[in-house]
Amino acid sequence: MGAAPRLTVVGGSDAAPSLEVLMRKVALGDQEAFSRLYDELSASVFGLARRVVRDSTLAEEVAQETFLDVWRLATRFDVQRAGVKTWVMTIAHRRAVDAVRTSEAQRRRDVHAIIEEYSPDVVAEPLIAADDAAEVRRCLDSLTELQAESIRLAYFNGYTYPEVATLLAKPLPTIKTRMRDGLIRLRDCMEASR
Amino acid sequence: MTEELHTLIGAYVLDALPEEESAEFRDHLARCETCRQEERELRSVAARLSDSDAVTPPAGLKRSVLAAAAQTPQLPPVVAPFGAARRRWRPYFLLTAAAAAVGVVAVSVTDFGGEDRITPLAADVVAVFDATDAIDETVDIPGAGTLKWAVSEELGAVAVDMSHVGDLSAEQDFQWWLIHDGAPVSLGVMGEAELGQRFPLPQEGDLLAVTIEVDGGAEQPTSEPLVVIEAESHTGG
Repeated sequence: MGAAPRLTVVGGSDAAPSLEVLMRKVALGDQEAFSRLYDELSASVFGLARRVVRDSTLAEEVAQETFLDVWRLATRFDVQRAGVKTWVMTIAHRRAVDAVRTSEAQRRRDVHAIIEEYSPDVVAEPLIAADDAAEVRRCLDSLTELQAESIRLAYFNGYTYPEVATLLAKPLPTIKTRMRDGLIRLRDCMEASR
Repeated sequence: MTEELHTLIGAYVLDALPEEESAEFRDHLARCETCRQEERELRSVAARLSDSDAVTPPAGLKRSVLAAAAQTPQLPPVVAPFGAARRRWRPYFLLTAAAAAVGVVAVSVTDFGGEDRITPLAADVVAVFDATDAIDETVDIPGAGTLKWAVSEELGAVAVDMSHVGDLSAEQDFQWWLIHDGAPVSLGVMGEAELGQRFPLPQEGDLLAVTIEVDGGAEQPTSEPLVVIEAESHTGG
């Protein structure tokens, strides 16, 4: 009998396993790893969902759907294509935007709908390393106003780019170009500060 | 066109493309490695936009997520990470065909002068080109014009538009073939007045080919195909 191949955890440490290591375990059905992954990412996911859907109850639903997607699709996660956090946040954003678009459609149908206010029952806490959040804010400040507005309205309000163009009274090609060059500028800004 | 389409990458990673354009863009991404690289980079930027918004969810959420996960089966792994395998369509000229086609074309197809013919395409052909999920392509046939085709998975159909391909002599017709496991089956002859044709979607690995045959068609292809379209499997999404 030959020696069994040796499996080594790469990038782990004595402290906390990396998100990549957790993801590999989740893909194998490890519920403990899933629980830890939830601890690592739930504040980011819930925070994004709440910012987009502006309702804590709905945000919880979005977060729950997101994590269930993560659980179900963990087997298909490919670290070559995206980092764990990027992948999870991509799912969360799609879920949040879907929720906001669906509820918008429902509201349009229901003339008596009461527009829900941003519910202030949860107090935001700085859970992402303050440096990282500050870096994002600083880089956002380096954008032109139109770049920043286009990105904000699309990402946080869930508007499509034709809707953004209408709101800002700009031609479609201008808006789609600003979204792209704004993101490119953010990328360059974040890379530069590394 | 591609550059124009490519600009949409910003809106795409922000989930701000309307559904139809999103499908079109995914198709663009599937064919463009440098675009996928840009997508990866911009996505990781977008994923950080809400860094300042992180907030601990109510404790009940974790219990409910873990309980739901415990009862939810995981999907089996596939090679494609973000979606199921999809079919992709591309034309190629068989190596021999590329050379042979020029010879065949020279004697039998008049060079296309660039004028549209007046007869419109049949409605069932147009329907495929107009389908919301249609992927269309154009391919040059050396010396004989351009062939357009569209694939719609929704309609389960492929349509070809040969209105920009030169005329054949009266003794010849274009004939389309489905090549399954290497065996050609006729899909029909295109009469003089017919400019387009619609076929059911071939299976993965099948080939669609068009040859020039005697007026009325042949039992088996007797000339090298002008164009061969392959339905190949790829990973994308």
